[in-house]
Amino acid sequence: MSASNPDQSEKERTATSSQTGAQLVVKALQDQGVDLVFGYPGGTIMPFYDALPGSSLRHILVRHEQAAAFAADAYARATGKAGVCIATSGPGATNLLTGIANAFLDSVPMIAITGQVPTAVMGTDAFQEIDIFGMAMPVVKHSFLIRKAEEIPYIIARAFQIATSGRPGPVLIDLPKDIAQMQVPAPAPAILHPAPTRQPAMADIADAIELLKTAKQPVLYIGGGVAKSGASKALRSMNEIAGIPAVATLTGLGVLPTGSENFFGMLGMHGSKAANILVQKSDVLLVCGARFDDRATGKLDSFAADARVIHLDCDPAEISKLRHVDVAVPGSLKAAIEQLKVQKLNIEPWRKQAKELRRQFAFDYHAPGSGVFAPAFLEKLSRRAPSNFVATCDVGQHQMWVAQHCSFNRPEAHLTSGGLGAMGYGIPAGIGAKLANPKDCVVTITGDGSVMMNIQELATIRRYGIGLKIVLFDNSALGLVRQWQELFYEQNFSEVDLYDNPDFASVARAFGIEAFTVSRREQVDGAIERLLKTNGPVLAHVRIDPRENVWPLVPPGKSNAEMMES
Amino acid sequence: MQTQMLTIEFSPEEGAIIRLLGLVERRGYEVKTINLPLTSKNNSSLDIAIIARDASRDIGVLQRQISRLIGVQRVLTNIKTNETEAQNV
Repeated sequence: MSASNPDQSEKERTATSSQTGAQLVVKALQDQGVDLVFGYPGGTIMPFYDALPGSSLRHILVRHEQAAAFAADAYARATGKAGVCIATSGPGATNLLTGIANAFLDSVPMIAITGQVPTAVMGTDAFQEIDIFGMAMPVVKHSFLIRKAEEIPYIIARAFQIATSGRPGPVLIDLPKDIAQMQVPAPAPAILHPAPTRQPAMADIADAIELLKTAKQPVLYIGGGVAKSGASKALRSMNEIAGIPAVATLTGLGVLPTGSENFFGMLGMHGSKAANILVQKSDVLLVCGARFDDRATGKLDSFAADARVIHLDCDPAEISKLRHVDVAVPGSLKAAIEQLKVQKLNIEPWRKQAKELRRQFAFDYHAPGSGVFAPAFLEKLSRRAPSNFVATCDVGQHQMWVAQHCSFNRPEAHLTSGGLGAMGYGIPAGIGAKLANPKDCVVTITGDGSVMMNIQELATIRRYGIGLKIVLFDNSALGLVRQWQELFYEQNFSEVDLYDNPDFASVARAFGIEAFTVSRREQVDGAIERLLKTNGPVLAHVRIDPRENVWPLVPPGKSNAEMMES
Repeated sequence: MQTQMLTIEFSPEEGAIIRLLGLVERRGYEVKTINLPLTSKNNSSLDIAIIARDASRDIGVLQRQISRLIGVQRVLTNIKTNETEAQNV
């Protein structure tokens, strides 16, 4: 069609020769292979929303910008691609911040695009003006403030490259409204591939192998970086031969399947007792993609005090940040693990000891009374769920019970807010995970505290018919805070009683979502069956005893050797 | 606490200086003096004198944390051998 065709609109004619900044953003996202974005419109981001209809981008309208960021985060964890979220300036942008911080602390690739007031009024306290570029700096891998529309294709390509290269993380792009509206000659598309991660040094690998050969009681400590580096398969292969007893952090669960011979559970505050004893007794700790987080280590100076440490990580800044490392292997984690060719270690007595500890401290699913015992519910749910089961968690007691009692056969099956511990993650994460892989059996496990942080997203589930299953454990309390007040604040229960919760099943039904309530143990089998058989969205409201706590537990500030048990 | 000098060579993108100083403060250091001796279109250099706020802080870790910022080219301490090449992508 020629430019002079009288049937062609002015808008279409202009598009052939020049494009607005907002059109360039849409096109650049398409060029990056983006098909799904999560967002919420508003004043300064309106040019983007004007350019959106007719594009190939599918936009999911959330009901709070924080949910857009959490959903994009989970989409990224589920797919390995960068998740994209969009909000307007001011409150829209600040509402994204918690989700951006969540992605930052768990090293999740994310692109957050925010509208900004026009450049001419930036710095004048204009309506809905907030310096999100400045506010987000501590919680982004990088950020851009776009000043020239013609730079949009490059900046967006560079943002994706930064977000997905090396240690992944969120990148913020702040887009002033006048730049988004500006007509510019269409620049060439820009594609930048992820930058290769530095290869590990052969000498470091050799040192690691030599140290491992001397080990009598080695432990493999798996962190979230293993899956993010695409190194899960390599680690499984390596350890099938080496046979090192392995433990995982909250975000490292699933790298080794829960029931596998060499896996001994999660370490740390709510880890398994066997895992913590093994780490404390270890003489060599092989740490892969982990950062010695305080929830994993307990009191740092008594953590694995007799162990020499080998640390493999793509981020050199994590080496010896908290714990002195004897052999550092900075560089590509996948390459390092692939090159760590260890023969079967001669550690049979240690392996036998480990298995005995696992048997001795196995979780007990027998509980007194006739109420629902959440650990048993979760153990049964994950055992009966199909192999494509994915759990997305909120934050609190239920989150720890999921980590302890659900079985995971891959790291992408467990999506949880690890570093930030953000209540409200569960439902938006379930939305992101289900849209990423619609055939997966995605279950959000939430609590009566967390669910209220983003309960409005039931409307999003309803609108798009997202077949998310929700298990809501209701103990009418902020359970984990209550547990700490009971144990460490002399039972001074302060502001943790949620006695006046709404009837959650009625709330779900008011949003148009099937829901039911169970409170007795004999209802559990039927509830799980109904959850798993329902094709559309469904919420199971599960009443549990508020006095039930998460066990075992390392008290704050104590060594992992000092676990409290019920 | 001992005063330590850092020289940071970086690309002068918008926000770069606040990004650098913010990281140094956040990671537990007080910035005592600042000097921007050299600025060109593509390269800037920032000299700062810093003091750790507690004894647990390791300047080597801080160097690597600065080095991984996008746009940082090189970080030097007052000890010449402690030079860290930027690791960023």
